[in-house]
Amino acid sequence: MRNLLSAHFARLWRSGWFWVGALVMIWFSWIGVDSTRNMLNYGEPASVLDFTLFYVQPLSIALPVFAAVFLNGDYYYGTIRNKLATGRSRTAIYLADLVLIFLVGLIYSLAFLSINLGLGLSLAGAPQTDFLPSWNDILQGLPVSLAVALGIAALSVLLARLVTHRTVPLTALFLGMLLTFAAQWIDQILLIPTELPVYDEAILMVDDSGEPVKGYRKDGVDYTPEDCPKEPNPNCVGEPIHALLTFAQNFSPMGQAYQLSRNSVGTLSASPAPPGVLAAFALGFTAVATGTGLLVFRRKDLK
Amino acid sequence: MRNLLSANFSRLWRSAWFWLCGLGMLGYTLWEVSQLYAFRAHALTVWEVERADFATPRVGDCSLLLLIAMAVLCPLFLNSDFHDGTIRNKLVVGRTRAQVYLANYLTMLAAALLYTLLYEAVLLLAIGFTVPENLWNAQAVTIKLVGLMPFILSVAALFTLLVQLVRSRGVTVLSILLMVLLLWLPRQQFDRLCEPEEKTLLGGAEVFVEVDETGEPHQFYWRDGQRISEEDLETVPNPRYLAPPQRRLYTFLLNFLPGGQAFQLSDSIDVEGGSGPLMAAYGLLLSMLATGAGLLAFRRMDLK
Repeated sequence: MRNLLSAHFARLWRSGWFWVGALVMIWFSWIGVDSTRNMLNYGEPASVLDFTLFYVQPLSIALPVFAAVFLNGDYYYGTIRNKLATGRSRTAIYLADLVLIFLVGLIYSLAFLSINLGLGLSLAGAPQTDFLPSWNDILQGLPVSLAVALGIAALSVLLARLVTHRTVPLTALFLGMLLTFAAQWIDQILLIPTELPVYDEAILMVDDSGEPVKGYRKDGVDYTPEDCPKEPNPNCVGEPIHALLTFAQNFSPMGQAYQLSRNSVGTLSASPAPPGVLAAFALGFTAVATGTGLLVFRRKDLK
Repeated sequence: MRNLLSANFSRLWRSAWFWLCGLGMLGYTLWEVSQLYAFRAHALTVWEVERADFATPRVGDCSLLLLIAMAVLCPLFLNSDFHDGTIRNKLVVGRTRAQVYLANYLTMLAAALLYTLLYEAVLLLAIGFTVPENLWNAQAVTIKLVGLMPFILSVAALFTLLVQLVRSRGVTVLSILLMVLLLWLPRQQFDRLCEPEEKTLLGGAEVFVEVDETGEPHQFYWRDGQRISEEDLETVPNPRYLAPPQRRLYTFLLNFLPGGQAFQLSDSIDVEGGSGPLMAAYGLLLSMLATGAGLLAFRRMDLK
């Protein structure tokens, strides 16, 4: 196993794709810093900490693509046969790949965080107010994000090892994008409220402190959004589907990444699972993906 | 050269990637037509317009998807020359590297033109047969179609350059990254160009929106329990406002690079100082530069 890892690392530093992936992570981090700087310029509440845990989202695309390009070289150049011929077991090869891809994921995360925190704190800042994430939120979220990164690494190795065709990087890219869009779409569905207010017109009311707030008028009576009579929302999804979608959002690494990064900007996510639960799902996914990958890889005809 | 083109085209018709990208283009065209129908219904019922020019604003809308299609097709189609080793066969039978490069460029150019033809044919026929309210402006439509040609030349040249010089099977990923960069950069640059010279400081004021009797929304400001107007707010120079030298650079890049041209051709952004003839000239220039550089580099490349 040590020889396999040593061979991987020797190839890693010389691989252009590794540096391209790191640049992509740095680019995404810079977008977050620039966006924060822009919002602060206009006096809007913003913080670079909004984007700190966001790193898992570009990682969920960059890491599978990198793994696909890097590990596919074993099939393309036939080096996998050399590894097996020298007595390495398929399990050892697969696990060495998983360790490598997870470590690459950590390096990519560090690249992202160095721009986000290193450059971001000096160029933009991290104001601490009620609606912005605190350092405590970030410290709690970081271990969870590492578990999610492990899940992403497991998915990447599963795809890269089971698909031998040279177009696997494209498959990895499309799968990453598809699952990320699916996570956004599921979140939108889960956000549909179960009840809707019944009213004749929306009005502007003045509350006790003299501030204008949104209200509803029905049959001549003014209500606040909380007091207004409500009816069931016909667009809301029924129970078996709702539970299924919630499970899918929690089990998929892209769904976990979405919840993690959305959690850091407040309760925008429909179903933010508590950090411990999210981490457990991430580790569960890792176990299932790795177990499946090992089972199939051991029986696979490697020609 | 004729043999090379004939071999390339016979491979193109049998290539699944060519048909898949074509299917994507068709799907986008049909979506565009459905959006047109929705817009037409809205214009006729809500705005009570009797006739309007629906065709001219939509003729250039294929530019964005063409950029994406070329970014996907070029590497998937051309890279197999390296992967299957057919490039060696072409050189062994006496073809020059320049001929191989140009044949590949012309094949990708033909694919791009076919995709554009598909889009324009479906769009214009749909309007012609199913939108009797359309006011045809043949001159404007022709000018837009002619303006698309240098753009197509430059996009095909740029992606052929990339794919011919990168032998690795991961060139598809690089190509898609380039396409994402070409599409992301113009929006960033345009947003910066739109930044005002001065910005308003709220100074503790809150912003609210009210709707008057005619249904028009109006913004008003509230500070210390009092309603104030926009003139009462302080203005300071905007640090994100671009100074003239940088403005000129950003405007140049928006007009020169295919990404910015794609957005302008599809009327998504309106760049000050951008015009059809200028973009056409830049498109021709970029295609010549990319092809020239590609030919030079390809001749020196170690093909192993």
